[in-house]
Amino acid sequence: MFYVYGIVDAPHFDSIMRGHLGAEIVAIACGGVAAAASALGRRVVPEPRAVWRHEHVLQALMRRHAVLPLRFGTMTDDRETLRRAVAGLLPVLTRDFARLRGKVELALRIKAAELGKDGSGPEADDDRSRHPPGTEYLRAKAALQRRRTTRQESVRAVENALRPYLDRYAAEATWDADDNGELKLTASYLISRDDVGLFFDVVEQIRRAHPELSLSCTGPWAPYSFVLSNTADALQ
Amino acid sequence: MTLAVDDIPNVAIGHIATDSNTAADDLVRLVLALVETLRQLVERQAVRRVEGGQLSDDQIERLGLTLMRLEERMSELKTHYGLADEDLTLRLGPLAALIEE
Repeated sequence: MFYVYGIVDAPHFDSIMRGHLGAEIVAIACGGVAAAASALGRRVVPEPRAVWRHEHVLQALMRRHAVLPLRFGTMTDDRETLRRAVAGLLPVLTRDFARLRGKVELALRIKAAELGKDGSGPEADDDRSRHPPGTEYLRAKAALQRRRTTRQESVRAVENALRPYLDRYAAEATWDADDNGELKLTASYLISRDDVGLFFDVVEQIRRAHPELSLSCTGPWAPYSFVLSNTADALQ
Repeated sequence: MTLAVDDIPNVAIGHIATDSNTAADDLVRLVLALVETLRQLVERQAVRRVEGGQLSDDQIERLGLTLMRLEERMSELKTHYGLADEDLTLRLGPLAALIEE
């Protein structure tokens, strides 16, 4: 079986580092592109060293080529299945390469104390005994929805305040709010490789100006969040 | 809210495997995910109607009891099939606004 790291915008690439389990990384060409893959005898266990290996392979390929990264763990049975999947996606792969060539992804995580605050007032506790269970159930749900709305509004306010500064260097950006207990904002920015330093400078300026925000910026990564061609699904 | 045909997302929670060992489990997961999504949608609408003052006290109580029992039953089914909330999350794309709004 083949483990697939990503798709490269050339039918061949120079031999680079070793891949998972010490295997060679080969180019499986199709049209003007190639899948970067390793023939493996077993699946790769998703542990940190393996995940970093996947990323390092992509980074090595990106030094000379545009690369569309595949998510960790993408496997296919044989070379021909892989070639067929890539052939079927060539038009969308070509459009992805045109959008993403020379660009990298930076990841932002933002936490702020006030984002996670419970927006509820002294709602229902005093009244609880006065309501029958069905009514109390719906009142509790209503209170929950109001709190959620309040949190979402404060999250959007932070996003709207920061985006004018960050978006000026971005080809594309996606923002998302994670409301799983601790509320935080995450953003992915597609940045020209030449502008990475400028983007980090802006993040640092925001961090200094807003110490109340816990702001982290990591990368540059392969542009996972901006690849539209779904090679992994095509391999299923 | 209006949706164009192109907006209709690929609603999925993964793949229903063709492997006979897992296909039944995946089908249960998909059905429960659909039911849970509809339950949340109905609940949102119910809350909206309550807050809009459109229902009598008696109607609120009956609606609340029905939704409460439905949530309890869903919880039992999740436990029975060993499913967590995230297992029942559908990727709804723009349709998610129906639940979130």
